[in-house]
Amino acid sequence: MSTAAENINGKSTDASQENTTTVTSAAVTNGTDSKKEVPLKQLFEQSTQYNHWRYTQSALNQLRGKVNQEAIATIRQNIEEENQQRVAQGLPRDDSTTSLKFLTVDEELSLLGFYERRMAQIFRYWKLPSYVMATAIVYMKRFFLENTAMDYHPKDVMLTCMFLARKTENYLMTIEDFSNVIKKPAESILDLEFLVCKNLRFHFTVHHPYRPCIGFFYDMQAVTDNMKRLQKMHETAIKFIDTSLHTDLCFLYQPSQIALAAIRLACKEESYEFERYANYKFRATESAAQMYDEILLPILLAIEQVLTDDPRCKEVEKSVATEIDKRLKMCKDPAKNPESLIYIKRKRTEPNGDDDDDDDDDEDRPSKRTRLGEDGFAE
Amino acid sequence: MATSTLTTTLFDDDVCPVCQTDRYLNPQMKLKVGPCFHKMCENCIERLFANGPAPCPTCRQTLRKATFSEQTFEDLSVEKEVRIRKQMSSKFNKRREDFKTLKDFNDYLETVEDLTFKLANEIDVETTKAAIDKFAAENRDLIRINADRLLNESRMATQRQEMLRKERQQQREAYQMELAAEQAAKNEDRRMLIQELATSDKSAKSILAARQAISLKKTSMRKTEVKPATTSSSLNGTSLLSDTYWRMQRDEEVDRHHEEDEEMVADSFDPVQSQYMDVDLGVGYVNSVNNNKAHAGGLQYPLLSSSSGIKDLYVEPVGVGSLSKVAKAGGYRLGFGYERAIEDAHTALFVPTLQS
Repeated sequence: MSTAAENINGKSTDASQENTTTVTSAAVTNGTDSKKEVPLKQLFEQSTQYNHWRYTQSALNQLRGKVNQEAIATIRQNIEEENQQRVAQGLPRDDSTTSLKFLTVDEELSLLGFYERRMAQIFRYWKLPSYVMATAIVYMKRFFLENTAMDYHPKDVMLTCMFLARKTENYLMTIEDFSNVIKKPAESILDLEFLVCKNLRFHFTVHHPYRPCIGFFYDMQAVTDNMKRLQKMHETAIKFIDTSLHTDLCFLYQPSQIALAAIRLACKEESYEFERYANYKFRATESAAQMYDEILLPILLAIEQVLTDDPRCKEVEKSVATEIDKRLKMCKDPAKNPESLIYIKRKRTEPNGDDDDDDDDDEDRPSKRTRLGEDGFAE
Repeated sequence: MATSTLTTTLFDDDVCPVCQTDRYLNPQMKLKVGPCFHKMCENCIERLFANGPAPCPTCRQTLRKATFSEQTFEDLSVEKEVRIRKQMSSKFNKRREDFKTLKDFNDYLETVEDLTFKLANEIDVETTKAAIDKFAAENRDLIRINADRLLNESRMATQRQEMLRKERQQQREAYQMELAAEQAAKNEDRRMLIQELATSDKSAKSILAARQAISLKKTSMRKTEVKPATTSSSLNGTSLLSDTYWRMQRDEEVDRHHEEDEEMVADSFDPVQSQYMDVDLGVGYVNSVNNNKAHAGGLQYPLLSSSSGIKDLYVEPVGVGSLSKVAKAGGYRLGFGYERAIEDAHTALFVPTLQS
């Protein structure tokens, strides 16, 4: 299965793309209305990724820090409540967790990085196009912007994100086959599915730098002198894009910018002349060159720096991950443990069961669908 | 179970061994065969087995009315063997794929034959039946799987046949409608010609000459559209069948020619030298416009490196086979892929980063 071909031909379009192309074609082909200027809106400006999932680095840090702190506070509170319950029932207090050091944001991130790479491994085994894996990784990143690893262990979320990404990118694998291959029960994967969708705000389409990279590859063919070196450079650029997935670049920059930066970096590595292409393309006029130098070049340099220097681009050692995992087990939230006392107490007082657990609905009604009366209306 | 009138005439001198009725006494007499392979006419079967199981008059085996079936072969021994084989095949339905070597498969087939022979000639019936039952019990799952497979295959085969039949029918109808339309057009033409001859005051010769010129133009136009000329043969009235056949042949040839042309062109593509490629992708496709103007509703790319707009053919990255074959799928243009990739490369390129 060829990655590039699937990249071009396989992906589904946003509905927004259809709208703007018909608008522009109407403007151009209709001779009588050619005087009316219909602005050619950038298609990307209508995507959810552009409108909802862009942050600054400081905003990201703040968001993650806040989530982490809130979770720690909740867990501490719940542990205290659990201990009170135990005392009330005559059991001894469980004070093993008072001196516990909860996970920091950095530790959570390295744990996530470890599981992201595991995901990448499994996708490589399945030999699917890169963008399916990329979508799964981005789902997981977005999920853990609003949740902490202490509440939902990354290894469960990882499976759900993989399953979901296969669905949204049109490489569906049924839950039976999936649980057979992954060797985990289907319920553990499906339980989290709705929660993940909710935290993604149901924005399932993710744009990756792969297709822009191929677009630049095509474009560079107009000014290349050595096709083979160009192709080699393109392969290296794709590898850089693969590493970029493990950083926060997808939240900070646009896919086309990341692709161009990857290409610039790959040109440096393969000693292919990038400036020739840049001059041809961006420095044709004074104003264009100015725009390039002021806006685009700093962005490219910033991305390149991340790709070369950021520690998250490197592999996470298994030992580090297991250590963090061990600590994670200790700081689990008692409210989520079905055997804890406060879980039982809360289950009893809540009328509809947990928000996140949508399987509870089955207990009230025998059939999931509403039953229709004789005249076709719901009873 | 075909018992048409044709087969019954073969059994003109049939006599029911039980009641000695022949066709003279009962013209609709039909002899049925029971599990013990003894024949009986339907009236006798009614009479004997109306009140449940009863012994066969010839061999005293207990039979029921339902176990009687029509006779398909004149020779009773053949009928018996066929019935045995049918029963066996429902149990012994292993296929070549279920065996590792050809020899194993052949050995299996030979054992099946042995058992069938024994059953058909009533040798060691008890032991044979026991062996069969044992086999059936051991391989129950495989038998079931193979039975399902067979069912699926037959279902798919009937579906395919159905689809083919429908397709052919549709094609036939389409061609017939086309011909009918053309015939109507011809008739209309002739009528107008006659009317013109009758009413106008130009000379007959000039009118006819004008008509000829128009019809010639029409035929030459149709030739370039890869449709066969019919007006030349219209006056002679060729037969329906040969016309449609000839048309189908013509279309096939055209497709083949376009295939060959396209492959040759893609191989000789040089990305550096050529500014612009004329790649004929087949009937019905038009080459994209040769400049930065919008094509197929696309956006303009003032930054695009190629001054001639998006090229028609690019070299693919390593690992991607030739995409020219993909382009042959109906409605798909190679350019779609290029356009999407290049569009994605250019959108949002100058979007500044968010400032906190």
